[in-house]
Amino acid sequence: MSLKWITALFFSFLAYMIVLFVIVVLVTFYYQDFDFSRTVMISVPYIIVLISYLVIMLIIFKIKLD
Amino acid sequence: MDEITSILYSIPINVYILIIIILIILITILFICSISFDEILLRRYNAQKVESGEFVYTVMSKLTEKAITKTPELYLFESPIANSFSITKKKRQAILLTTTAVNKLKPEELEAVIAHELGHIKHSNQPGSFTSVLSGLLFLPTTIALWAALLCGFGQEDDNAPQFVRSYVMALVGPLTAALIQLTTSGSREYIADEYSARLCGVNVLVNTLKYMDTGNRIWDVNPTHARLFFVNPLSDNILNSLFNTHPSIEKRIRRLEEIDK
Repeated sequence: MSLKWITALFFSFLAYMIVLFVIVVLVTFYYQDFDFSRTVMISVPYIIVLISYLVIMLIIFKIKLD
Repeated sequence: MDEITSILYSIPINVYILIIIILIILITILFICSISFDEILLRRYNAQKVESGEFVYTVMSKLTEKAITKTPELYLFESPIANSFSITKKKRQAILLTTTAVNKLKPEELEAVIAHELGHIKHSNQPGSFTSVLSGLLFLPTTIALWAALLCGFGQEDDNAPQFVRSYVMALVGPLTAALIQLTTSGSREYIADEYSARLCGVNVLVNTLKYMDTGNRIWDVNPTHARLFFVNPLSDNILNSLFNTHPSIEKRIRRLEEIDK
C-alpha cells in the first residue's frame, strides 16, 4: 500500500478530530459546564461515523490507487 | 434524546432559514454546472478559440481526416507547462492546448498530444468533465478558506499560515472530493487514449512526447479536481495531492505502448 494516500487519510482523520474538539468546546461553553456523559454522547457517534467514512475512503483508494 | 430535541428547539428559526437558502443556492449551482460545465472550464482557463487556417488547427484537421472523425473546437490557454485536455459534451467537443505545448513541442509531438485528446473524445467521457466541475464545487471551501486567511491578515498567498489553513480545509473536503473523482474515472482511460494516439501517430512519437513531458517542467498549481482532465498529471507530489492522482505513471504508460509495438 502506498504510504502517501494513507498519510493523507490520517491527516484527514486528525482534521476531523479537531472539528470534534471545537464542537465539545462550544457545547461546554453553551452549558457553562463540562459534563463527561454529554461529551461521550457527542463523541462516540461522531467517531463511529468518522471511522466508517474513513474505512469507505480507504477501500476506494486502495482499489483505485494501489 | 429529550436533550437533543430541546437543543434543536432552542436554535433560532433564522438558522434553519439560512440552511434552506444555502441548500437552494447549492442546488442551483449544481444545475448550472450540469448544463454549462464546458463554458465554466473554458472561462476558468481563459481559453482563446483557434480559428481554422492557423498552424495548430491545420495539424488537428489533418488528424481528424486521418481518423475519419468530426473536427472538435480548438482552444489555447496560457500555462507555463506543456499540457492539454479535452471537453466532451453532446453538443460540444473541444480540445484545449497550453501555449507552451504549441511553442515547445515539435509538430509530430503536438500531433500525438492532439491525437490523445481525440482518443478521449472518441471514447466519450462526458461524465468526467462534469465530475471535475462538480468536485471543483465541493472543493470550493478550500479556496474560500485561503481567501479568508489572506483577508484576515494571515499573510501573503505563499506564506505558511494561509497555506496551513488551506491544507486544513483540504484535509476535510479532499478525501470525499477525491473519492468522487476516483469512482468516476476509469483507470484505463489514459491507456485507451494513448493507444488511439499511437495508432494515428506512431508509438515512438508518443513515447518521446511522454518522455519530454516527464523530464520538462510538469508541475502546475491547478485545482486538484481538474488534474484528471490533463494529458499528464500536473500536480506536485505532495501528500494530499496523491489522493487526486488518476493517471498511471509515465513509465507504465510507456511500457504499455512498447508492449503494443512488439
